[in-house]
Amino acid sequence: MSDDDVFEVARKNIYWMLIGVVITVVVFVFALILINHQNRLTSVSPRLNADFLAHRFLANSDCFAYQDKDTGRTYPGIIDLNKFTTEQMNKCYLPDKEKGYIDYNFKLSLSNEQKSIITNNFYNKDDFTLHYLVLVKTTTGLKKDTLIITVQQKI
Amino acid sequence: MNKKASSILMIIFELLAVILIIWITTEVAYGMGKSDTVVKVNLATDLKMMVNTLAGVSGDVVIEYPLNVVNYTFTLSQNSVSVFKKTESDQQKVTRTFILPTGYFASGSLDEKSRLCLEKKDKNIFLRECLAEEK
Repeated sequence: MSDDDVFEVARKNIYWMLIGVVITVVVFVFALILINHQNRLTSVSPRLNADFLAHRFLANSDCFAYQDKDTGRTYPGIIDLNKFTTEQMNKCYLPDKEKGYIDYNFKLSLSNEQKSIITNNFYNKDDFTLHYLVLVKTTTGLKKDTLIITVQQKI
Repeated sequence: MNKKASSILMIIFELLAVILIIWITTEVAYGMGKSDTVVKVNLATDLKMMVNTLAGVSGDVVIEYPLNVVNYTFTLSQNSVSVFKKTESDQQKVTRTFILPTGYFASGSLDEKSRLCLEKKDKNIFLRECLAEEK
C-alpha cells in the first residue's frame, strides 16, 4: 500500500467520524421534533385544568359552598364564610405534603371580605389568576363578592 | 490490502450505514405515527378532568365518555386513573393522578368495553360500563 492509499483510508475514517457526529445530532433533533409533536397533541390549557379543579371550591359543600342545614340543599356559587378556613381547604384539596409542589396549588381570596386561604404547597408563585363572581353567606346575610383564585402550577 | 479492495469495502460500509440510518428513522417515525400513546394520554387526561369535575358537583351524576373505548382497559383508584392495552407492559401504561376531597372514594375498572361511564353517587365515584338504559 502506497502513502497515497494510506492517506485515502485515513481521510475516509476522519470523514466518517465527522459524519457520525452529524448523524447522531440529526437523529436526536428528529426524536425531539417527534416528542414535541406528541406533546402538542396531548397538551391541555392550564387554565382549563385549574378551572375544573376550582369548580369544587364554588360548588361542593364539602369545600366552601353554602349548604342549607334544614333541607340539605347545596347552593353553588354561594360561599359560606364560616367554612372559608385553612382546615376546610385541607379537607377539600390537600396535595401531598412532600411532593405536592408538582400539583396545582391555590390561593383563594375574597376581595371584599379581605380574607385569604392557601393550599399546603402554595409558595406565592403566581402563574395566573381566575376570577369568579360569588355571593358570600355571612351571619348577617348574603353579600356580593369576587373570589380571586391565584394558581400556582408545578414548581 | 490494495487500494481497490479497501475502497470497495468502504463503499459497502457507507451504503450499509445509510440504509441503517434510513431504516431506523422510518421505523421510529412509523412507530410514533401509529402508536396509541397519544390516544391513551388524551383518554387519561380527559378522565382525570372528568373526575375533578365530578368532585365539584354537589348531587349524583352519571356521565358517558363520548368516544368508543373498546380497545383500552381502564382502572380508577383513589388518586389515579390508568389507561392501557391488555397486551402492553406496565411501562406503556398511562396514569394521571388527581386529588379528591376528604371522605371521597374513587374505584372501578373497564375492560375493553365500548361505552365508559363515570358515576358519582354521594361521595363515591365509580368507573364502569354504561348501562343499556343510560343513553
